[in-house]
Amino acid sequence: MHNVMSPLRSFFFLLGFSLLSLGIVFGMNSSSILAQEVEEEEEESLFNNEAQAYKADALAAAVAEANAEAIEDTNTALEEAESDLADAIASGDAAAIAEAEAALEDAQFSADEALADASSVSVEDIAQMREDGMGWGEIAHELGVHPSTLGLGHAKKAERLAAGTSLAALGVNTTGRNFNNGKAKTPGVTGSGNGKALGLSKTSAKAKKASNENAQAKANGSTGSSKGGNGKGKGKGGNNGGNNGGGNGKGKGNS
Amino acid sequence: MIKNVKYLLVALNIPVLLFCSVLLAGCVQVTGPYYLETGQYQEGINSLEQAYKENPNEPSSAYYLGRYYLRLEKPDKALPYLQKAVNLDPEDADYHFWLGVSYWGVDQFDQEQAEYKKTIALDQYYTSAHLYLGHGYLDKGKWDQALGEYDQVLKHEAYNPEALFNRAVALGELNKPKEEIAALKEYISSYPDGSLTLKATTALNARGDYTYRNHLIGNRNITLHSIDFRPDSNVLQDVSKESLQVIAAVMHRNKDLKLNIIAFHASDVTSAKARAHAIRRYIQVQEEGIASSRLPLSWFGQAEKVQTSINHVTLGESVMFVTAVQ
Repeated sequence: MHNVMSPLRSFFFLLGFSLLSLGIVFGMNSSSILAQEVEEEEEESLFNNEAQAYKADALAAAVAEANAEAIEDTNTALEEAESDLADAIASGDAAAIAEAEAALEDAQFSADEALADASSVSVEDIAQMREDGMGWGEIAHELGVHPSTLGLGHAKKAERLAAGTSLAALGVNTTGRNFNNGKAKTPGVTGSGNGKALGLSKTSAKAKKASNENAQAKANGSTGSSKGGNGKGKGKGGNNGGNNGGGNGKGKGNS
Repeated sequence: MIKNVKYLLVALNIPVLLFCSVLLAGCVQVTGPYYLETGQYQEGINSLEQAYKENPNEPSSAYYLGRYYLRLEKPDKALPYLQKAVNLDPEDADYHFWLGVSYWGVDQFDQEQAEYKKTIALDQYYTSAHLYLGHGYLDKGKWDQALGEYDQVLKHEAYNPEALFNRAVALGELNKPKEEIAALKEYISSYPDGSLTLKATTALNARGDYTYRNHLIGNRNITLHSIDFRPDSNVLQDVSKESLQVIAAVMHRNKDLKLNIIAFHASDVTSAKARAHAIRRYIQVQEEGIASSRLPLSWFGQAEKVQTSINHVTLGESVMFVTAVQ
């Protein structure tokens, strides 16, 4: 009798303990959710009227613009360092070259850090973009921290667009020809880095598909010929082209 | 006897010469792509110029020399080589295409287009030729023809970014607003990052469509999908969650960032409040450690008024994100 009761007793003891634990967890969760609901119910709207919200938006735009100019200064320092190195190389002075190289490395690091901070992406992501052949200005443009891109959608009253404004009025030019491979470069920062902070291209399934298919199209032969690239063995190009931009597709760049 | 020897030598030389030609051509097929792929364009020129001098009737040498000069952004130097390649082998679509590209480089746009047309006559599925022919038409303001070429590209490369974007440009110029809006949204949804998307979104909004908007998140202008909810509910749509994941990642990266969430719902302030809370909860679930104090909420039972240069647009249900500044 004792032998039969013992496992039963253990079973019921464990069952009781489990139910009690579940009850405690469930109860804690319920009370936590309840507390959150009460908290949310009691929360007041920060802005009392729409005007306050619109004013805060305008203020944020002004601050971002000022910060963008500060970031641009970092780029100026980088360009100066690059120019100094070119001068040093031209002089042939080994010591001057070494010094200029070190200064350029520092300026590069500062510029990368400034960009990473401003755009809230990692320094590694910025480095990846550089490895992909993007210059500082291009990265700033594509990440939306360059002064010229900040106003898009947040322009001051006098600069706001009238309804029906065309793309051409925005200075868009996407008709450059690619001397490298005759293919369209994947725009934005789609091909660089993996952090979700980079933007929708990292969280949207459709954007990932588009990016992959465009990369595949570039890989399939130099020009998209139906012959499968080059039946005669002609080589495919690299993919670091980008357009040349401007009137007749030239001059203005393809930002 | 001497005459016989001469005949014998000639007879022997013909196959030897043929063999050498084949060997040389084969050699170019190997070295030509090699220098393109490795980016050693000047080395390629040094190597193939010699082969070209020795056998000027071999089109591959001329072709690759032209390609190297194009890569070095010297279309004026590329042009004669590519013309030569085309003359030697007029049935090669690649030769015509790259000759077209070099014509563009030297501002000879009519010749450029003629070469793309020849390329397509040889190979109707040559997408890059359709693309650049479309670009040429767009540059000349021939919107309908440009549209036709871009449609050809998209049949084979559904996500070609330039064709997708320029379709919207052409449709806008043709004053087809509905089609233009659809084209802009197709481009933005395919390539939702970058400066071109910021501009496309601005143009979309100027057409009165706010499916996508540019938001200043910290110091950065980011394109996001509108934050939408299931009909008559405060449950987030999946497409909007992708945008909130971006915001969560940015806030995780930038611990100093404080972002106002402002929900509008015309005539339903209770729903506006519930939606503001739903957005904050979703962001907080994505990344741990984002305190509610970093996501202050505001809500209004009114429509949002978006200012344009001459009037304002009202959005019955919308969400603004506004970076809090000191």
